Amino acid sequence: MEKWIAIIAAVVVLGGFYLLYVSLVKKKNKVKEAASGIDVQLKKRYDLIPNLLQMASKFMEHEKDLMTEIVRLRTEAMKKDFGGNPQEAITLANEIDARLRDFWLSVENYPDLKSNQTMLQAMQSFNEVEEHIAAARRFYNASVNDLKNAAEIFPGNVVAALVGIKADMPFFEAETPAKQRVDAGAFFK
Amino acid sequence: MIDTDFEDVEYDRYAGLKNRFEEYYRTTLQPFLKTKEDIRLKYVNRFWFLLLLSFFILPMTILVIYFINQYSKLNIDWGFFYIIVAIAVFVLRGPFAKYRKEVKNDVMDLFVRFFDGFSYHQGAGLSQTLMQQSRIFPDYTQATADDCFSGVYEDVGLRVCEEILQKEYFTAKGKKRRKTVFRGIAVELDMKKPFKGQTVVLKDSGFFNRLKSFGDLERVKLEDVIFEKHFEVYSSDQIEARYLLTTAFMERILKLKELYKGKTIEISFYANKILLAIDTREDMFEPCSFFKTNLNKEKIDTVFEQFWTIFSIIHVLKLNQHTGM
Repeated sequence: MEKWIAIIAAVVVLGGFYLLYVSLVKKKNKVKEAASGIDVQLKKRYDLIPNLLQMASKFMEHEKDLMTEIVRLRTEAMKKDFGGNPQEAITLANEIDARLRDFWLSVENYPDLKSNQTMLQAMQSFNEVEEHIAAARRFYNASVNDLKNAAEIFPGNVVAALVGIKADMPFFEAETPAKQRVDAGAFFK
Repeated sequence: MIDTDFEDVEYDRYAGLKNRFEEYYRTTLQPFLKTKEDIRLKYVNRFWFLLLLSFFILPMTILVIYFINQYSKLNIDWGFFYIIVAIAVFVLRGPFAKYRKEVKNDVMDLFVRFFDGFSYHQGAGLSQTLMQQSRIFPDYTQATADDCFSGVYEDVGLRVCEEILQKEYFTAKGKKRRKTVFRGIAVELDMKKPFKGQTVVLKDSGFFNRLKSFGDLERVKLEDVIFEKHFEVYSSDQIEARYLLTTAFMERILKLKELYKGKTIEISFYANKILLAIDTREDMFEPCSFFKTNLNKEKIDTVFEQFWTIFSIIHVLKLNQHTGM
C-alpha cells in the first residue's frame, strides 16, 4: 500500500513538474514569437525612412542634422535583432521614435511639404506601420508579463530555476517624450 | 460609460437627421400611407370574414364527423378535422401575407429611400458562407431572412438583415424538432483598416470559456480589464488582433454594448469586414400594423429609431473615420 502511495505521489509530482515545464516553454516561445513580431514591424518602419527623408530633403534643407541623425540611428537599428538583445533594440527604437517625433513637428513648418500628395501617402503608410508597432509592442509586453508571472511565482519559479528558463526580458515601454505616438492623422485635417 | 462629448455630437446628428425625416414623412411617406390605408382595410375585412367563416365551418366539421361516425356505417378519421384546421389557418394567413406583399414591402422600400442610395430586400439574407465563417453565429441548420437593407452610410458600406437561425435536433423518441438559436440582426460593415486574418469578439462565458475551441484561432488576452470582463477575444494573429482592438476601440465596443443594453453582441473581423450578431429576440423593422391604422406615425418612428441604432454602430466604432485608432 505504502509503495503504491509513493508511486502515485511520484507520478503526481513528476506530472505536475512536466506540465509546469511545458507551460513555461510555451510562454518562453510566445515571447520569442512576439519579439520577432516586433522585429518585423520595426523593419517595416526602417524601410519607410529612406523614401521619407529623400522626399523631405528637397524641402527641409534646414533640418539636415536631424535627418542625418535619423539615418545614423536607422543604420544602427537595422543591425540589431530584437530577439538577440531586446534592451538595446528598445533603446534604439525609442531614440528613433523621439527623432521622428521631432521630424514630424518640423514638417509642420513646411506647408508645401505638408500638402505634397506623395508626402501625405508616406505619412499614411507611416501611421499604419506605427499602429502595427504599437500592436506588436502590446503583444510582446503581454507575453513577457505572462512568462514573468509564471516563472517568478511558486512553484513555477522552482521549475524555471531547475530547467534554466529565465524571465529577464525587458518590457517594451515607450520613453516619456515618445509616448505620444506620431499622429500623422493630424496632417490630414 | 458614454462620454458627454460623444453624446452631444450624436444628439446633434440624430436631431439633424430626424428633422429631415419628419419632412420626408410629411411630404412622401404619409401621402403614400394614405393611399395604402384602403388596401389595409380591405384585407382586415377579408380577415374578419374568413375568421367568422372558420368559426362556423370548424364546429360544423366536428358535428358532421361526430354524426357520421355515430349514425352511419362510415367511419371518418379525426385526422380529417385537423386537415380542415390546417386549411383554415392557411386561408387566414392569406390576408396578412397579401397585405405584407402589397403594403409593407412598398412602405419599407420608400422608407429606406430616405437614406440616400439605400435599398430594401425582403428575404435576401447575408451570405451564408460569410455568416458561417464569421464564427459569431451559433450552429444552425436553417436560416430564414426577413427584412434586409443595404447601402452606404457616411462612406461605410452597410448590409443589415433580420435573421432567424434554427437548428434541427431529435427528441428522445426520435422525432425531428427545430429550435431557434438566434433571432436578431446580422450587420455587415466595410472596414477601412486593412487586415488579413480573423479576430472574433465573443460574449464572456466565465468558466465555460475554457471549453470553447476555435481551431486555428487563439485566445487573445487584452489589457483592458473591463473589456475582458465582458468579452473574450480569439484571433488567428495576435498582433493583428491588437492592431484592430486598440484600447480606444475596446472602449467603443463597450459603448456599443451599452447602446444595446441587455442584448448579446458578438463581433467578427473577417475578410476586411466587421460582422455583428445582435441577438435582439424581437421582430424588427415593422413600419405597418395590420389591425391598426398606418396613419399613426408611431410604428414608422420605431423603425427610424431602429435604423438610427444601427447607424450609431458606425459612429460609436468610428468606422467612418480613418484615424488609425
